[in-house]
Amino acid sequence: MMRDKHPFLHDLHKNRTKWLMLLPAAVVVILMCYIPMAGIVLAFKEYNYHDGIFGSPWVGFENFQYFFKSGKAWLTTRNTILYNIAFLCVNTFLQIACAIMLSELAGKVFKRITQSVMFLPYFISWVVVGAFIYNLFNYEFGAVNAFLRGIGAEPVDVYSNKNAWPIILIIVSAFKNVGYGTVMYLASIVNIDGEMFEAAELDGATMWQKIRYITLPCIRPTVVILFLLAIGTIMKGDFQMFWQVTGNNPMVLDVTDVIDTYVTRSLLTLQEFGMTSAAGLYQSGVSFVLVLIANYIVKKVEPDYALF
Amino acid sequence: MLGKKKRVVSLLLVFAMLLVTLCACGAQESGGQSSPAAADTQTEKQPEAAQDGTQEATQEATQEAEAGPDISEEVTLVMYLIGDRPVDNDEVFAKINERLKAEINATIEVKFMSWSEYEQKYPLIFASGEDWDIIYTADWCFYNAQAAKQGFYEITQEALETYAPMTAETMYEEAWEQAKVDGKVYMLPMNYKEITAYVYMARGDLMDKYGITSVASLDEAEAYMDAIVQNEPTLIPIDVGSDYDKLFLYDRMWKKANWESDEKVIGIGPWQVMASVSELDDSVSVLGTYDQPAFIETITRLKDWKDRGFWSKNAVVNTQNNTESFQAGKSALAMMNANTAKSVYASVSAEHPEWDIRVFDAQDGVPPVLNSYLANGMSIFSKSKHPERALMALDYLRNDEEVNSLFCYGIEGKHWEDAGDGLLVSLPDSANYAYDSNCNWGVRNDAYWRMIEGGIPNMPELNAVWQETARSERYQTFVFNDESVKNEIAAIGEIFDTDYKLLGLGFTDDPEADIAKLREKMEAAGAQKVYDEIQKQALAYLETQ
Amino acid sequence: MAAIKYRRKKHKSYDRMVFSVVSHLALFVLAAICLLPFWLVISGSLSEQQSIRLNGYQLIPEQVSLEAYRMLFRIPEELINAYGVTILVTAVGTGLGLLVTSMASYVLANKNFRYRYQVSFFFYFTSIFGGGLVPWYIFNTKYLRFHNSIIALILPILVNVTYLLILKSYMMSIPESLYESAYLDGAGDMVVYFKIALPLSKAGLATVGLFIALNYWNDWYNAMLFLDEGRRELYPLQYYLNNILTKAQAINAAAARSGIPASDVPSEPMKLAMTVIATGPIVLLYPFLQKYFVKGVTIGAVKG
Repeated sequence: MMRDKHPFLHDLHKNRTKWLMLLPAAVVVILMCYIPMAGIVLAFKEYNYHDGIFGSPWVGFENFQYFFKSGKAWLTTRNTILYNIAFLCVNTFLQIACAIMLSELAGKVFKRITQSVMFLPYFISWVVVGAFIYNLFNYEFGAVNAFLRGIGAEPVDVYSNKNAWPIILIIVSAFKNVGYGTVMYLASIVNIDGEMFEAAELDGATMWQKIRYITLPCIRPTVVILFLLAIGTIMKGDFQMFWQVTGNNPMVLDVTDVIDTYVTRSLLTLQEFGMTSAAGLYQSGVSFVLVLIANYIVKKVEPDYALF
Repeated sequence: MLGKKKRVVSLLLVFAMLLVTLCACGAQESGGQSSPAAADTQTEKQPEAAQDGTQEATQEATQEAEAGPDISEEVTLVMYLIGDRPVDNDEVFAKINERLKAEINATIEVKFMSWSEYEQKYPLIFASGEDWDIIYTADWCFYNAQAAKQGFYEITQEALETYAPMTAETMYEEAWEQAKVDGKVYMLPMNYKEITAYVYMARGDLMDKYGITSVASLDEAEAYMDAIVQNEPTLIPIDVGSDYDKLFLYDRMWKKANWESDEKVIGIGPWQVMASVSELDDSVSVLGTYDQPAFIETITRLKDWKDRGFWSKNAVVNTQNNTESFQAGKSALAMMNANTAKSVYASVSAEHPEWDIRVFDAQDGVPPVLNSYLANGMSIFSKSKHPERALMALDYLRNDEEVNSLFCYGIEGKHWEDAGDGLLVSLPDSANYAYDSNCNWGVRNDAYWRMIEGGIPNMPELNAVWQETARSERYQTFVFNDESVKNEIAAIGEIFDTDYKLLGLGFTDDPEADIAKLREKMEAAGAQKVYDEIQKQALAYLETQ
Repeated sequence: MAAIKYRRKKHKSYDRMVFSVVSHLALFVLAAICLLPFWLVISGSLSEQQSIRLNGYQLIPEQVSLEAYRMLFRIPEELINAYGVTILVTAVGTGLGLLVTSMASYVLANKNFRYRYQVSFFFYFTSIFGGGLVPWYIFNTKYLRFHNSIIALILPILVNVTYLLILKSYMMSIPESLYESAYLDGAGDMVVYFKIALPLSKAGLATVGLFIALNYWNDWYNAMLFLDEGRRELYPLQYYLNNILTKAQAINAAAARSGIPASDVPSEPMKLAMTVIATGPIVLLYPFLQKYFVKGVTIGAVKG
C-alpha cells in the first residue's frame, strides 16, 4: 500500500507533525507573497483600472525601455552592487569584531550600556541622519568647515566632491547597522559550547588563538547564511539612505546613484505601475541568478550551510 | 528549569489565543464594513424622467423641459480630499449636507489623505475596489495619469447640462477645453482665474545701510545681494535651492530674456521635458530650452551670481526654502509668490520689526501668466455607484454661494466675517477651519471668491499692475498627451532633476560645455521624439482654435 | 584542537589584558559615536525652531523650549492610546511571529526532514520576487478585507523570511545527537521542539524576537496604507506621531497659502522629539534581553 504512494505523499504522512509545524508560516507567505506575486505581469502590461491587473493590455518589454535607454542602467547597477558589497564587508567585519569583544568582556555594566547605546542609531530615521550630515558638511556653516576656518585652514566643499561620498555612505551605513547586526553574531557566539573554551584555556591557548580557532570557525555558518541572504538583496539599495543622506545631490550622482533612486527620480511624475514593476523585476531577476550561483557553490563545499 | 519551560509554553499559547480572538474581531469588523460588492451594476445612465420637479428651477437653460434627474434614493457620497481633517470640518460639512440633502437628497462624507502619504495612497484607492465617489485632482496631482488609466468618470457635455446646469453655464470655455484628455473631459476645473506673480522681500535695515533704494528688478537685486556679500559675511544673500525654489531665479531671468526678445519664446508641454517654442511661430517648431539663444546667457549670469556667493555652494541639497531662511535671519533676500508673501510679511514684521522688511515686484516687467485651470479641480471616480449624483453635488459645491463659501472659508460669523469689497476677515476660530485650506481649491469660483484683508502696504499697487498686464500664453490650454512617449519622458524627467537643476542654480564651470552635455543626454533620452510629438499635437490643437 | 600551540601561562594573562584594554577602548569610541547623534536629537528636540534653522543642531540648546513636546502631547489620551496599540501589536506580533517562525525553522534545520531544501527555497523565493505594492494592496483590501483592521498591522510583517532562515542556521548548530536520543526515547516533534530546540536556541530566539519586535514597533507603513484617517483609535505610535508632524507642516503651509500670519509650528524640533518619544520604551527592551546573550551556556549543562 505504502509502496504505491508518491514519495512526497509518503513523507507528508510520515512527517505530518513537521509539515503541520511548517503550515502557519507557509500560509502567511502564500497569502502575503505568493498570491500577490501574480502581479508581476504588470511589468509587461499597460495598466488601467477598468480592466484590472489581468485584463489590461500587454505591451511586451515596453515598460523596461526607459531604464535601459537612459544609459544609466549599467552605472546604477554597478553602483548598487559595489555599495552593497562594500557595506556587507565593512559591516560584517565590524559586527563580528564587536560581537567578539562584547562576548569576552567581563564588566557587566559597561557591556550593557555599550550594547544598548550601539542600538540607538537604528532609531534615528534617515531623514534626520541626512539633516545631520548636511549640518556637518555644509560649506558655509557646517560644523566641519567652521572648525577648519577656526584653525585657519581652507574649508572643504564635500557636496561637490565625488570621492567623499562612497566613504561617507559606508560610514553612515556602518553607523546605523553595526549595533543591530552585532546581536546576530553575538547570539551565534553565545551558542558555542562552553566546554571548547574551557578545554582551550586548560591547554593555555591565547585569546587570539581562541578567537581564531574556536570562535570564528563556530560562527562560520551564520556568516555564510548572512552573506547568501545579502546577495539576495544586492540589487536593492536602502532607498531612504541614498536619497536622504546625499540629499539627492545631482553633483555626485555618478558615484551615489543606485537603481532605486534612479527609478524614483524617473517616475516621480509618471506614476506608472508597470514601469515600477519592470524595474523591480530586473532587480529580482539579477539577484536571483546571483543567489543561485552562490548557493550552488556553497552547496558543493558545505551542503549544510546552503540556503536551499 | 521545567517551570520556566512551562511558562514559555503557556505564554505562547496565550499569544496564539489572542490571535484567534483578534482574527475573529477583525473579520467581523471588516465584514460589517464592506458594502455588498455584488450589486456592482452600473446605475442607470439615462436620467429617468421624473416629473416631480422638486429641484431648483435652472434659469433659462432648461432645454430638457421639466425633466429632472431621479433623486428619490437617498445617497451618501464619499469625497476624498488631500490634507488633514480640520478640527471643524465635520461641523462645516454638517451645514453643507443640510443644504445638499434638501436640494439633491444626497450627503457628502469626507475622507482625507494627508500630504505625507497622498502620493502613495492616491493611485491605490483607485485600484483597491473601495467604494467612493469624488476626489480632488489637478494637473500636478495625477489628473492625466489617472485619466489615462480610466480612473475617472467621463463628464460629457450632456451630463454636465443635465446634472450640473449651473456649472454648465458658468464654466470658462478655456477651462473646459483644457480639461480634455484625448477629447474627453474627466474633471471640473476650478472656476477661478489665478495669476501667480512673484515678489522680492528684502531687509529695509540693510538696504538703508548700503544705500539701496529698490530691489524691484534683477539688476537691483544683483546690486543689493552684492552689497550683502561684500559686507555681511554671516548672511547668505538668497538661500535658494530647495525643491520649492531651485528654479526661481532661473525662471525670472529666462522669462525676462524671452519677453524682451523678438521671438517671444515660451514653454510648451510638460515642464520637465524642457520644450520651448516661439509664440509667433505657426509651424510650432519645438526646441529644447537649452537650444534657445537666451539659455546660455541666462546660465552664464546664474553662474556669475553663484560664483559671487549669492547663494550657498551647497544650494543643490538645500532642504530649507528661501523664505524659511529669510525668516530665520539667515539670508537677506527672499523670493516668493504674492500669497506666500502676505503670510511671511505678517509674521516677520511682527517678530522682527527692526528689519523693516520691504516687498518689491519681482516680475521685472514680465507680465504674470494666468495659471492653468487644471491647477485645481474635482473629479468623479469611474467606479462610483452614483456618478450623476456626484456631479450634482459638485454643481452645488462650485456654484451655490452658501455651500461654496462654507467649503472655502468655513462658517460665516464663526470662522470669518464679510469685510465688503470681496474681502473677508478671519476670526480667531479660523484656526479650526483655516481660510482656503481644506482642499477646497477645486471648487474655487471667481463669483464668490474673497481675499483676506490687510497685509503688505504696497500690495494693492502691485496687484493693480499685475491684473492689468496678466495674459494667457498661446498654449495655455494645450494639454499634451504623453501616452506614446512615456519612456522618453521618464528618462528626460531624470535629466531635468539632475543636470538641469544644476544649470538652473548656476553650478557649472563652463556653461557652454555643460549645455552641450545636457543636449547630448537629452538627445540620447529621445527628446526629439517627444518634441516631434508635441509639435504634432500642438498643430492639431491650433487647428481647433 | 591540535592546532592550538601550547604557551606558558604568564603569556595568557598578558594578552588578556591587552585584549581587554583594546576592546574597552574600541567599544567606548564606538558607543560615543553612536551616542553623539542621539544626544543631538535630544538637544535639538528641546531647541527652538529658528535656532535650528539659523545655527543647525547643537550640543546644548541655546534656549530650552518644550514647544515640540507640547505639540506632540497635546492630546494625551490619543498618545497613550497609540502607545497602547503599538505595545499590543508588538507583543502579539512578536509572540506569534516567533512561534510561527521558530516552528518552521525547527523543521527546516532538521536533517531528518527530506524536503528541507525545497521548502527553504519555497520561503526564500519570496524574499527575492514580489508582485509589487499595487497587487499586494488590492489583494489585502479587496479579498482579505484588511482595510481598517488591526490584522493589517500584524499579518503583513508576521513572517520575515530572512529571520526565519537566520533562526534556522542557529538551530542547525544544535548537535544532532540530542535530537536522535530524544526521538529514540519516543518523543514526538512537538516535544523535541519545545524541550530541546527552543531552550537551546535562546540567544537566537532573543535575537530574532528583538528584530521582529523592532519591526512592529517602527512600522507605520502598513498603518498608512490600511487605516482610514477616521480610525485614529487604531493608529500605532509611529504613525500617530508622523500624523501630528504632517498636520503641523500643513498648518504652516495653509498659512502661507492664505496669507495669514504663519503660526510657525516647530516642525523641525518636532521631528526630533518624535524620535525621542518613539525610541524611549523599546530601548529598555534590550537590556532585558541581554541575559540571553551571555557566553558559555554549555550544551553539556542542558544535557545533564
